[in-house]
Amino acid sequence: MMNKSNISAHQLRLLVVFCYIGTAVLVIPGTVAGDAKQDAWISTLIGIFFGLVLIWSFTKLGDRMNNMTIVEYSVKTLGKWLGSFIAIMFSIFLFMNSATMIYILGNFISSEIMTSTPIEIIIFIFLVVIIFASRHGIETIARTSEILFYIIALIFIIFTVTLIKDIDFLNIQPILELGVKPISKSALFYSSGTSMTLVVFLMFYPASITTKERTLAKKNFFYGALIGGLILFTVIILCILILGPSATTRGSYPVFQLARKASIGPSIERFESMITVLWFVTVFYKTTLYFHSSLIGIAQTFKLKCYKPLTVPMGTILFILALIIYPNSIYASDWDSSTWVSVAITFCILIPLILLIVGKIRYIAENH
Amino acid sequence: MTILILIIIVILTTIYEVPPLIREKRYKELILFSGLLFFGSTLVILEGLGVTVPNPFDALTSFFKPMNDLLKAIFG
Repeated sequence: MMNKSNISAHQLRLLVVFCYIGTAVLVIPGTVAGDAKQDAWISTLIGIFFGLVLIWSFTKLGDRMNNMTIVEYSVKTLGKWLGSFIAIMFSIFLFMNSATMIYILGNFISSEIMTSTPIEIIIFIFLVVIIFASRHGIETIARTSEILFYIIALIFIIFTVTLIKDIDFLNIQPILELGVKPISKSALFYSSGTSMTLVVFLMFYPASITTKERTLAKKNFFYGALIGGLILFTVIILCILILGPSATTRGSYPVFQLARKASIGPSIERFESMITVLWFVTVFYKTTLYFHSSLIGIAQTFKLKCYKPLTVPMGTILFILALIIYPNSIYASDWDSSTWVSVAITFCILIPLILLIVGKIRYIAENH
Repeated sequence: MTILILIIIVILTTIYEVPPLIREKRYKELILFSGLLFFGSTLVILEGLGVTVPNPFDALTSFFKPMNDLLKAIFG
C-alpha cells in the first residue's frame, strides 16, 4: 500500500535517543524536582528502568506485528470498526502531541530568546520545516539524524565537562527526606514525558526497518532508550547538584539557567544558545516523527495510497491547535502534570497492552 | 494578514496537489484533502477574526477526570 521505507538499526537508535530527550531535557528537570526535590535522581533511575520494561513490551508487540504498523495491526486484531476507531484515536493522540511540542518550543523561543517576535511567526516557521521534512518521508528524516547526532553529542559533552567544577554534593542531601510517595509520583511523570512517548516508534519499528537488521534493531531500541535515559539522568543530577533542588524548581527552564553558569576559562562562557541548538534539533525530530506518523496513521486507516496530500491541510490545523491548546503557561504545567499523564498511560500503555493480549488470544485461537 | 497568508497557502497547495489526484482518480484522498483543508482554514480564519476557538484539551480534561482522580489518590 504505502511505499516501504528502510531505516537501519543504527538510525533507529539515534531517532529513539532524540525522541527520548526531545522536550524532556528542558521541561522535565523542573517538574521532577518539583515533587521529589533532591531525590529527583532516584525517580529518574526508576523512570529509566520502567522505560526499559515498557520498551520490552513494545518489542513484544513489534514481534507480532511484523510488516504492519500499530494502526494496521489494530484494524486486523480488533476488527474493522473498533480497530479503525482505536487507530483514529491513536493518530489524533500523535497529532495532538505534536501540537503540544510545537507550543512548548514556540513558548520557549518567544519567552527566553526572541522576546519581541510573536509566537505565531515562530510556530509558522517551525511548521514549514516540519511539513517539508514530513513530505520527504521517514527515510530522509532518519538519514539526517546521523549528521546531527554528532553535533548534539559534542554540545552535550562540552556542557557536562565544563559544569563538573561547580558540583556541590551538599545539594542532594538529605536523601529520602520526603519519603517514597513524591519519588514515585515524579517517576511516573518522568516516564510519561520520556519512555511512554516512544510509542510513536510502533508506527515504524518492525515495518520500516531493513529486513536483515530486524534483530539488531530490537537491541538498538533498548540502547537508544538507555542512552537517552543516561543523558537525562546527567542533566537532572547536574541541575540538582549545581543549582540545588529549590532553584531547579523555581525557573521554567533549569537547564537553561545551568548553561548560563557553564564556562571554559574566563573568556568562553554563556552556553545557553548551544543548549538551545541541542533542544531545537531534538524537538524537531520528536515533532516531525509525531506529525509524520499521525499522517501515516490517518492514511492507513482510510486506506489511502499516499499521505502526502494531507500534509498541508493537517499543518494548518496543527498551527491553530498549537496556538489554542495552552491558553497560558500555568494551564500548561497544570495540564501536563494531571491530564497528560492519564492520556499517556491510556495511549502508550493500555492500548499497546490490549493489542498485545488480544493478538495473543487470536493467535492461540487460530492455531488450535 | 493571517488570512491573506492563509489564502495564498490554500491556493498554492490546491494548484500543487489537486490535479494529480483528479488525473489518477484518487477521490478518497481528494475528499479528505479538501475536508481537512476546509476545516483548517475555517479555524485559521476564526482565529484571525478574534473568535475564541474551543480548546480540545478542556474536553480531554473532563473526559479523563476519573483517571486523574485515581492517579491523584494513588500518588498523592
